[in-house]
Amino acid sequence: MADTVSSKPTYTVEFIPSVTRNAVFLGNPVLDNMMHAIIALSAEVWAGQRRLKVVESLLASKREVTFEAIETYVPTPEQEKAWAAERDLMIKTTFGALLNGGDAPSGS
Amino acid sequence: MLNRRSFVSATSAVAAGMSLLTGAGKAIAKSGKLPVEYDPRGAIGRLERLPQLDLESKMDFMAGVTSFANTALASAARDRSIAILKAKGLDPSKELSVEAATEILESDPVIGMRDRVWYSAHNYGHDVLDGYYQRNADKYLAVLEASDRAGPGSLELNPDMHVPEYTRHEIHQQPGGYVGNAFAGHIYHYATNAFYRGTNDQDERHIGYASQCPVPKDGNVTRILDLGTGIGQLAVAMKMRFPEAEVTGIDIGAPMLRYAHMRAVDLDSDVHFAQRLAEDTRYPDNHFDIVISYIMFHEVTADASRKIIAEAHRILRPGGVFYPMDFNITAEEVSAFRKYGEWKDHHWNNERWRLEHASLDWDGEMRKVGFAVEDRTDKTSVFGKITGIKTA
Repeated sequence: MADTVSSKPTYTVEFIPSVTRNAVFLGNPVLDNMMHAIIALSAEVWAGQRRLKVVESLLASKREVTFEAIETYVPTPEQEKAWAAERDLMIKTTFGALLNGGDAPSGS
Repeated sequence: MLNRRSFVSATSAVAAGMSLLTGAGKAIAKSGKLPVEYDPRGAIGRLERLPQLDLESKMDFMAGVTSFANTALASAARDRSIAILKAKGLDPSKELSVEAATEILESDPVIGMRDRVWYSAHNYGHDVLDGYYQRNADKYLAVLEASDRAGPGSLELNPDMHVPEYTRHEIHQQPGGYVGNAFAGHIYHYATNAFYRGTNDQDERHIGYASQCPVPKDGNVTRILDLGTGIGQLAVAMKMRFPEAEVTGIDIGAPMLRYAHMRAVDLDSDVHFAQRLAEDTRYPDNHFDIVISYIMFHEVTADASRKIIAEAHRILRPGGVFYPMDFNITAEEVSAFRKYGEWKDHHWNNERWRLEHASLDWDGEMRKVGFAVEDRTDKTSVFGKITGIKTA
């Protein structure tokens, strides 16, 4: 957890930290860390793509493209649906390879 | 926690919730009654938008990845488990001990990859939310501070009360858990929205669950208590269904309650929140008509669960309804793959009391304190609810 830097009351008490953040599911912590990094990087890519979609939407509607207009833009229901489908396609395209079990040995 | 699993009866719950949302005069939208500016990006229906487009987009992506992990990857992992168990001469539909299921399935790379993707999405979402709110702590604490004293409804905080050790864990790896992070409510709300993959952005699940809650046979509903209310979604949903009733939500986590109250004020919902222990509520005997809870019990020890069941019986009036919903409440035999999933949830997702919870005999414990068990979901359900009626 990041530190809370504030003089205001937080109403918190001491907690017991989880010791499971370093879980190894892939037999090698380096592989787990790399997979985590790929997922985080993909999120950054999608955030950039979604911002671009907002900018394109503003341009298409001939509205002023300001930081505030970008941040407060509300996608139409049709856009929400189309963007979600595009996100899911991106995930399927990039992470679909993970579905290939190949000839990996079965269990222990 | 909200686990990352498919919720049984989700379709009917969501449908019921949506009918309430769209029903004439019954929907609650934001009221704008918060005493300070809080919504830089506005709201969509009941949902305050996350304060930055990038943050919203990253959580949107995590909802997509979670969905992928819970469907395609989970299906591949399940198929893999079946093949492994069959190769060992075992029936995949039969229950194995946690130890045996774990030993057989833990090291398979296909199953491991599904888990890695799910956990990374889960942890990444928590981290970006925690990072944002902590970097802007003064601003968001000021909103909470101002909201603490606002109405409708009320907030009772008891900063000197004893917070039992079992509640202090980082439940489902949420940074700081429910008691140790000033922004526990913020993080819980948006991380669980990603977990629910867009099906609870408008509290549809809680509204649906509230709509299914049985009513005492005499029809009298004056006081309702929501145990382990968290960010108050069910309490607010119960107030929507029973607008004349006095609805109270209690929880041990002050940061969760502060967020719950802030949100209730913003929704113009007259709900009371109090920092109290579910096993020792301090309410009078025979006080409530309905006592309800949503996925609280798997976050407490089996011993605490027994005490909470007894406490619910004490504070309900004769004829009152006890209606908890949680994992495993009605489950009997579970498959080896699911058993392994429960162990992972306990061990890796830091659901410390999940296995204790799974071992609890709900029918027996409820009958022991005097409840008549009248209704329960199908025993094969992952996610169950049970109805207890307090006899005279």
